[in-house]
Amino acid sequence: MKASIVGVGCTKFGNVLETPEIKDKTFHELIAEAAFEAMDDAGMTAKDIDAFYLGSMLSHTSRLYSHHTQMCDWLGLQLKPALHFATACSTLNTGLGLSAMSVASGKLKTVLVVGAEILGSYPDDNPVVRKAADPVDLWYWTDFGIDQIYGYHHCYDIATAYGAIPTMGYAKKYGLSMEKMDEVMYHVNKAVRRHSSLNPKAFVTESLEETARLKEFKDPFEFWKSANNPYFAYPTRLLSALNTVDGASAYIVTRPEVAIEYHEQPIDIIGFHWAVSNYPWYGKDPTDWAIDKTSFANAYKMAGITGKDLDYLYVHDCMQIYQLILSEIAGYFDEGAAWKAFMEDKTMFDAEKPMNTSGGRHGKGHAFGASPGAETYEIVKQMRGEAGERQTKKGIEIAAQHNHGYGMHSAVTILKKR
Amino acid sequence: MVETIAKKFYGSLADGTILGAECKECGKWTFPPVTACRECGSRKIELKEISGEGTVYFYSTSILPPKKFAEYSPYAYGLVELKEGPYFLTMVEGLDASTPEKIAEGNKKLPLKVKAKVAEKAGMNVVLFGVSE
Repeated sequence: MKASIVGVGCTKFGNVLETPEIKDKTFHELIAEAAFEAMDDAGMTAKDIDAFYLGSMLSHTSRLYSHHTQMCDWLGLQLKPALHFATACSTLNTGLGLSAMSVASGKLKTVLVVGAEILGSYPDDNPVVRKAADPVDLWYWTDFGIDQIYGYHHCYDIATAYGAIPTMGYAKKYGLSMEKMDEVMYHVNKAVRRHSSLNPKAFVTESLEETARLKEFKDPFEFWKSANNPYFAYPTRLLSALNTVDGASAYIVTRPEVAIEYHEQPIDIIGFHWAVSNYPWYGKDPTDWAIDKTSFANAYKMAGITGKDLDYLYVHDCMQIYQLILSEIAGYFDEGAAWKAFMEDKTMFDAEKPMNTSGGRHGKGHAFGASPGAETYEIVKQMRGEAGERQTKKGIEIAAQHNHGYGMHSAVTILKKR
Repeated sequence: MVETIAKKFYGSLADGTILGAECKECGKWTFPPVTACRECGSRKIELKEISGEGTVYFYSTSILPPKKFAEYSPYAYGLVELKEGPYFLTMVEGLDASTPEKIAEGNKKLPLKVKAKVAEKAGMNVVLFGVSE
C-alpha cells in the first residue's frame, strides 16, 4: 500500500459559455469547485492540505501559466508548496503517481491534486468575457503536442493516425469485415452513451437510442450508418470520437495509515507506471502499442496483480477504438475477445465486465488534462457504492485507470478498495 | 557538441537527398534522424541517405484536416514501413482518398510498394511517398 485517496471532486463537464452548472465560471472558479468538493469529501479544510499540484494542458485557451501561483489564494492555500504540471490528456492520472510518491517520501502528509481545462473559449483580454474558440484553431494548438520537427509537418492527420488506421488494424488482425467493424463500433458507442446518459456530470445526456429516436430512426443502427454520423476518417465515424469540453476534477491523497481519519472508505493507490513514445506510436500492427504494454505491465508488477484481477477498467477513449485495443492490452479481455464482449454488451455498468462507466471522452467529455481526474472520481464513487443510477452490479475491489497524454504518454494507475 | 540535424535534414531535401540516421552500435536506422538512435538510445549515429523504398500498409483521410494542410484535403495519409526498418506517416500519392468508398477499396489492395520523393507542401519541402507498383 503506497498512498490513499480520501476525497474526490468533479464539476459538470460542458461549456462555460452555455452549460448552466458551469456557465460564466472562470478557470479559477472551476479549479475551486472541484478542489472544494474533494476537500469536503475528505472532511478537510485548507489547513489540512500540505501541498497542491495543479494540472492543465492547453495554455492557448486558458491563457495562463503559473496556475499554481495565481490560484493559491482562491484555494486558501497561500504559502504552501505547489506546482503546475502536465502530461497532456493523462495529466491527472500522472498526478496519482506523483502525489503517491510525494506522501510515500515522508516529506508531505496530504496532497491536493486538481486539474482544469477550458477548451471551448478563451478570455478575450477581459477575465470575464470569453470568446468561442474556432475548432480548427483548437486542433492547431492541440497538435503542438505532436512531433514539431518532423511528424506534424509531414501532412499530419490525427483522425487517420489515431482513429482510422488503428480501427482498420483491429479489423485486419481478427479478420473482421469493415461492415462488421462498423457494427462493433456502434455497440461501443451505445455503451458510451448509455453510461453518459446516466451520469449527471456528463456532457452528452442522450443515449444513442434517444438521439436516433429524436432523428426519427426506428433502428438506432440505421441512424448510426446515416448521414447524421459521417466518417470522421473512414472507417472511424464522428460519434466514435471525443467531444472537447470544459471542466475540472480533483482528489486528495494521503498516507495509508492516516487515511481512515479522513474518510471511512479510503481507496488505495497500489501501483502505477508511465511510459512515453514520440510519433509514430506503432508499426505494421497499429493495435500493438509498446508504451501501453510497458505501462500496464509495470503498474501490475508494482501492484502484484494481473489484468485478470481487475473488477473494472477505464481506458482512454478519445477514439473509441481504444476501448477494444487497450482492454486487450490490459488483459481485461483476451486477445480478440473485446469486440465480442462489446457486441454482447458485457462492458455495461450492470454487466460482468464494466468499463468506462462515466461515459468516457465522448460521453462525459474530454477536458484534456482534467479528464483523468473525472475517471478517478468515477472509480472512487463506484468502489464506494455512490455511483447512483450507473452503479455497477458487481462489487469493485480492484480497478485500473489508463490515460493517453497526447504525443504520446501512457499512464496506468491501479486502485484498490480498502 | 550536438550537430544541427533538423537543419541538415530539411536542407538536403532541396537537392533531393533524404537523410536517415544509422546507429553505429546496434545497426538500426532512425527516420527521420534525431540526436540518438530510436532503438537503443546510442548517440553514435551517422546521417546517411535512405533508399527511399518502402511499403504502405494503411491510409485514410480526415474531414477535419489540420489547417496547415487543409488546401490539399482530401489527401491520402498513410503508414509506411521503410526498407531500412523505421515506420513513418505522411502523404502518399497514388492512393484514392476522394470518398470513404474509394478509401475502403484502396485499403483492400494494400500493402503496396512505395518510393519516397521530395515535394513542397504548405511552403516547405517534405518527404512524401508515391505508389511504385
